[in-house]
Amino acid sequence: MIRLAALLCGMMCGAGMILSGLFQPVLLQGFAGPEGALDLSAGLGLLSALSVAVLVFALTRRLSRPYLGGEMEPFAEGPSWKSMAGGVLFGLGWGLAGYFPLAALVALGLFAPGAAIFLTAVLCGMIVHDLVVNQGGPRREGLRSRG
Amino acid sequence: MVLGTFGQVILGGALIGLAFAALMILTGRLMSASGMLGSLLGGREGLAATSIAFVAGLFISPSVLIALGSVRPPAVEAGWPLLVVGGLLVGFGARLANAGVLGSIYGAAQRSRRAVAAILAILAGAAVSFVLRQVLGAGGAA
Repeated sequence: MIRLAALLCGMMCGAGMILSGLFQPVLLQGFAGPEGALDLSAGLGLLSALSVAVLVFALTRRLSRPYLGGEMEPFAEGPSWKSMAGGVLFGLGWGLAGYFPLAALVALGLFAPGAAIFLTAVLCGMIVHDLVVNQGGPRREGLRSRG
Repeated sequence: MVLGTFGQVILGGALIGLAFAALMILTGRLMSASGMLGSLLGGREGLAATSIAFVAGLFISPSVLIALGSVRPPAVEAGWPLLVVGGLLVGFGARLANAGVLGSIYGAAQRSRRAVAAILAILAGAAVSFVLRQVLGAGGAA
């Protein structure tokens, strides 16, 4: 049941990504186009996404546990050098490749070859991180997805 | 114009927000492709199953939409060297920061200072890469 819910949420998110065009690899270029023309619709889409989520959370503030069991994934507290350095690398890569992981997964569903290359590289980057930072061992605990 | 019309962008954004809220309320998971791909590589027990399900949902959503109507194909993608280098940086950075685009945005909505900082860092990196691409002559096609 919990997996079915996750599947449906994935489909809903993907549908929203496609409908709004927010998965498009030119998103960043849209924000600051080559002609200097700002395209505000990308920001508009994100604003719309944000307000709906905030609204739903405001209505369910009392909820301490997920309906289908398990625990809420917490938002980490306090900035750290890791989150800043990682964020800069992430943004750098996003700007260069044009994709971020969620967008690439949607584009992969449209059989975009670049998305497959990008996602393979993302996984390699994650493995490289684990090899370098964790000295070979995969991370055992405390993995909190926040992106 | 590669993005949708005004209404499509608003509606699409609302769907994304609804999916985020539903995922958190029903399953407790943060809607974050970076984190979910990460949890496939090893993480806390029990996260992999929902991650696989969510990623599968993302993957099949275009096919469902194609069956229902028209879908704009991805616009021009970057050349493969940029995709590889960019992907490596994104993967490494996401794992280091435990953060990505959407997760940070929603974290900021929950007043997480760390998420706000991560957004600023991501935008700074994106700005650098934008300048870099202008200098390199917009290498790749996108």
